[in-house]
Amino acid sequence: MTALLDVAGLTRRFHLAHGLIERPRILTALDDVSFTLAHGRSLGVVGGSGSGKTTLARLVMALDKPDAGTVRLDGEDLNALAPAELRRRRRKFQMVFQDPRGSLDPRMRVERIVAEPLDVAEPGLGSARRERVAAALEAVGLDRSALSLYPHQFSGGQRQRIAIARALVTAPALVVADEPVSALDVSVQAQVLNLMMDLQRERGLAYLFISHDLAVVEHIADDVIVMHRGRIVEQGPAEALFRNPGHPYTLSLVEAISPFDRMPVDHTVSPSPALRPRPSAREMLPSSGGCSYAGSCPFASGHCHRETPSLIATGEDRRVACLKPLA
Amino acid sequence: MTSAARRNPALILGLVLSAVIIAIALISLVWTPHDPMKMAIVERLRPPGGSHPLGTDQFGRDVASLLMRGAANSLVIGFIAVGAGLVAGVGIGTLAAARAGTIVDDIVMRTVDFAFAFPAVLTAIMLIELIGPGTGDAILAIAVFNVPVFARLSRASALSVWATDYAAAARVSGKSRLEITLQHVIPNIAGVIVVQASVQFGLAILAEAGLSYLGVGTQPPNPSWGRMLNDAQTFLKVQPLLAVFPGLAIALTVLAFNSLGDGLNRLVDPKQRDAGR
Repeated sequence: MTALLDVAGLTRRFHLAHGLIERPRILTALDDVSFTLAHGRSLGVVGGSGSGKTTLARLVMALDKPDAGTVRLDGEDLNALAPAELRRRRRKFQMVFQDPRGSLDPRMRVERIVAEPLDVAEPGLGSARRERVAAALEAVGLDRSALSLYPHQFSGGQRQRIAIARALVTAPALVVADEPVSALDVSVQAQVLNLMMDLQRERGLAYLFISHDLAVVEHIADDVIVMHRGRIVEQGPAEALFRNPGHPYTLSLVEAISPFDRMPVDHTVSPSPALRPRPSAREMLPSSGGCSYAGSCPFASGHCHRETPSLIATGEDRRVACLKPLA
Repeated sequence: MTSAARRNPALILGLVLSAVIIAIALISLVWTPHDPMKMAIVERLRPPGGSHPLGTDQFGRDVASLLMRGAANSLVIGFIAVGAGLVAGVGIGTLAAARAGTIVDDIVMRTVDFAFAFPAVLTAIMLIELIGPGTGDAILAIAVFNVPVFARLSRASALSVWATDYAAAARVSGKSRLEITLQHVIPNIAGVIVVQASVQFGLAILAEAGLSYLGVGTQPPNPSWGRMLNDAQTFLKVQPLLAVFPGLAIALTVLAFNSLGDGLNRLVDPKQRDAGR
């Protein structure tokens, strides 16, 4: 059986603005990223700012075109489809955005917002359209009285429920969620996460769940990809990966979670890496070679600055891009 | 009303003034104190007073009646010219924004820049060579002048809508660029466009007066504020008030629509609106 989502060798470069004298600079936001996602599974993508998570989401959603590599949904290369054909396929993969204040058109009523994917997928539903939208709203715990209201009449958590209803109204197989709870109050984050997990169980959804917050990913994901500067540095089942990080960067992320909401970490490895300031744009430009994390890594040796590690299997379902893997 | 006036005096001033001007123009279509076309040489160059509240011009026509009918003339020309410029400009600007970064965007916007480089008066004079003098070429010249203004504004505003997550969500839904432009972009830029339209309306009336003053706009015997100003020049020493009244009418009308634009802008701009709350 083919995977629902098959991403292979995905690369995206951005040309940074440059002056008249300066040479154009290229930022590789995504560098040779490959993974698969099966029906009904959740894949968490974690990484800091500038790790390429959002670029990945946009490429998977075919909102942007890659410079190299393919995104296949049910075996079909999205970027090889004609625009009209791609628009027809969109009912199968939907997206939930980070901030529901920005992802819902302030001038549209909820009925029209939620119906948007439906109007493309099944035009001319007539009176059944309203029922389908109301059913989607009820599935996310909103009353049908919401239909005729505007987004600003709802709280942040309710608005994200509206955004989730929109993503689900065409019964997609894949939902890409880009930081879906990070703009919400901590008190409603858990509600929305639990809703997403309930919906996954009921409907067999697959999630590509992007977050900088490991505690959130730990909660929802079956498998995890850890990204650093546009590359996958570690990949594996969520529990094994968090309990026993194989890459020093993963370890630094795990140790940054508050001790109250993380799983116990196997502390046979030390020392813990110091907290580093976030990388500047200059640091994110392609270096002369070597591991992208070497500059921040407590375990790095001279070797790490010269040789670029490739993603190598270290165990069952686990891959790490490190010359001196921890696990 | 008082608190609204204090918070947004420009809007109140603009609304009241433009309502008065529009009312006068409408009334002039059915009633004026005298027939504005009727000449009476014996009554020429009368000072204000008596049956001619604003006096008479060099042909003995009633100035008040001419001004009233002139208002209707100015407003109609302004409305058609700005309306045509708005429709064409918003169409061009949103098309360019929907194709941002492509060759379509470049070609369209460079063409607009080229049109913008010609002053309205020059455009009008060129058009007269083509279609002969009259109201038509004044309207066309002012419309052509307005297209780049609306094209640039709507492209810039549309680009900011395209950058929002709700535009991305519409693409994720499978909506086409045209559908997104009609359903998301235009409703969300309508506010700034309306604001600009009322400012442009004031400018269009000024431009019409200017063109008529030069003799390339409204042709006699149709009354026009700009041509009244031109005619008054000859008699400036005899009857200076002849120049004052149309001048005041033009100034007040431009003030009315500029204030309206200003006030609407304050109403539409969320930053200023929220600060007022």
